[in-house]
Amino acid sequence: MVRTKRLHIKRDMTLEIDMRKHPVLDFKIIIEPGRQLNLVWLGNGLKRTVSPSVECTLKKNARLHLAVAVSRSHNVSVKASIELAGIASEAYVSGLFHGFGTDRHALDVAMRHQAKNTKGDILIKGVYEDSAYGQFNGLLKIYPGANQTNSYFADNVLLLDRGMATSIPTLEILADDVRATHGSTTSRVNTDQLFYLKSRGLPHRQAIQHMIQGFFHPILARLPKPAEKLFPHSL
Amino acid sequence: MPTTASKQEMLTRPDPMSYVFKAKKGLSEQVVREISHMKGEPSWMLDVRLRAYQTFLKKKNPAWGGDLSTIKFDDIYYYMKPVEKVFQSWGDVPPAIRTTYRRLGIPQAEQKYLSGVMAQYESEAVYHNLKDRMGKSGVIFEDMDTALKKYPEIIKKYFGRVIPAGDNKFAALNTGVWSGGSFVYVPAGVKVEFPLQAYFRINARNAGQFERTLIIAEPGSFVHYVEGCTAPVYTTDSLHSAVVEIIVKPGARVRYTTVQNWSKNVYNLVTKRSFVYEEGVMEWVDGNLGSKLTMKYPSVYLLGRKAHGEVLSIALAGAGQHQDAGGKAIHGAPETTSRIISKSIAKETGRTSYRGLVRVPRGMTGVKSNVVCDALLLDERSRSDTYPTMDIKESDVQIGHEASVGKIGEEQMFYLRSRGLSEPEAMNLIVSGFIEPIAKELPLEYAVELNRLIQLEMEGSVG
Repeated sequence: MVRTKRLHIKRDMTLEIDMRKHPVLDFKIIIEPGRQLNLVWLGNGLKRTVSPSVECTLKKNARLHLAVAVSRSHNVSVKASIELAGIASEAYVSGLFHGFGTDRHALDVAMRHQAKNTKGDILIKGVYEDSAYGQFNGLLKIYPGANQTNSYFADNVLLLDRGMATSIPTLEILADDVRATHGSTTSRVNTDQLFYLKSRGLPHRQAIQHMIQGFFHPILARLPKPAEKLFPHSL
Repeated sequence: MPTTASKQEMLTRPDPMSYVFKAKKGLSEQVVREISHMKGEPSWMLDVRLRAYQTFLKKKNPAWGGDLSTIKFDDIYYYMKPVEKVFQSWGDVPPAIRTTYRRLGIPQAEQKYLSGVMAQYESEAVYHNLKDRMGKSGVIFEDMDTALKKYPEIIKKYFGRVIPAGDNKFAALNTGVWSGGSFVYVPAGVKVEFPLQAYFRINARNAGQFERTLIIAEPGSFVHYVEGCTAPVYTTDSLHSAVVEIIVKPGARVRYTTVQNWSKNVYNLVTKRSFVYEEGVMEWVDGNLGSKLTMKYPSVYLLGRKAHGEVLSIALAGAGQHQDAGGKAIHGAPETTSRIISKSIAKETGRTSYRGLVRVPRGMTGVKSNVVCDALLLDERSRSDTYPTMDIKESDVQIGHEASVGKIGEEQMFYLRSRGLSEPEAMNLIVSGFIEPIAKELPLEYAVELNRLIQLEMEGSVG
């Protein structure tokens, strides 16, 4: 059963949600002017299907940081719809995904800039091993009149073995004084780097492990908690 | 010297024309039969047409992209034949048509210089000139109707192989009522040194133009095909729905350049696709300036090891225009590479969209693909969208996509103004620089024409 939880953020706060305990939690959030919310979703070793979602409206000068970290989880589908409704509101989305076996992960982020001077920044890193599959959809929409807006979306996917990925980064821009950029990359492990690490005596799996860590590093720096606690499996 | 405004008026004024035969308005099985009968086609082609017509009836308009709801399929002439035969020399071409071409700015010298000019006026090729040496080297450059008569076995072998009628509603429509277009056949190892050119133009009210082009490049050959379009302005909507099929055999290279400047009431719904085999190279250079709505996504299907595909696309959308363009790369073999570069400019309620697909199925190792799309918005009422899809089922790949949308930088404008350029001049210079990476890939006369057209379009967009 889907549970909808309504939140009205009137003071700065951090929410950490364990997806194991709340598999289908649906958030509707309003962040009051000048307030900040850190919303952290963690999914580790999830056996059943989880599909959390969030709809968040930011008022003037409000800030949101949505961090999603998923590792070794069978079937995860996360949806986030963020409305930058107030002037100078800012939203950051950080996603770390690590799939193994036949894991299926999907992340759907829509960032809607409805007011001037808003900032949106989405960074997603995914590693897919074995036959795991990741799907990353991003929509950046800038409404008419939402000028002096800066919107950014990046998703980088590293594929190993028979991993698969789909990326659909969409832009819809209806204002002109804006900066909207996105970048997507999908690649395998750099064989030169791998060769170098192995030539220094590292076993294959450990060398790969180091490279995955390096790949995840930029996103770990954005996550609010010490990374080791969040990802015992991946790191 | 005429001013640019009056020049544009001259370009867009319709010329009165008499037609030898004009099919009834609207589409029915009877019309399809009539078209085939008028052309004296073999019965297999009639069968192809009739089957495609049935497919057309069954298919729905695509639910994505631009607004197609205002197309009235029953209000269009599907076929008309302006003159009795294909001309052998320029002198035979009726004066009315020659006047039109002069207004389009094809210089007399160019007519002599260009070795194979084929011009499509309405739905038939009316001018056709082949140089002897092209014939000697075995190169075939014919209008599609003549080619069907002269080389039925080649046409039968390849027609609809790259784009089957069932591919989409407009491919089905084209297959049902196609008329004109070009057929190019380049034998193995032959490199055609000069670009083959064809001009297309819609002239009659509600005249649909459904040309069908087929290019076959045998192993190791090279050809550059150039297609340019201009059309006069009319008040009612008209439809252009072409199909272009290209087969690039091992080691061959084909470049296909289009600059379309349809009038602002034309629906330009075109299916362009190429099959590229081992070590072949396919390059689409695509400029979209005119039309009310363009939906065109030139595709490369890379079907042999080390095949390479490129799509270079420029779009300019002014008031009321929607340019929904892009490119597709399907990597159907290992070690294939592709590059898609899209540059778009939107102004005054114009809308540009990039829609693209990169697909790598499992097992296609060593694939590399890079997609770059940049959009420039010139005012607050314009709109730009990017809809890319990357579908990667293989890990041994390098796929990159980047896109950016923005307006002309204030620092750039300020710098140019400080050097004494007026605002429109500065803007023109920046826009020319923005499209330069693609403009430089065009043959010189097209690059000049493209720049001139963009400058015409840009007039009045400042202040």
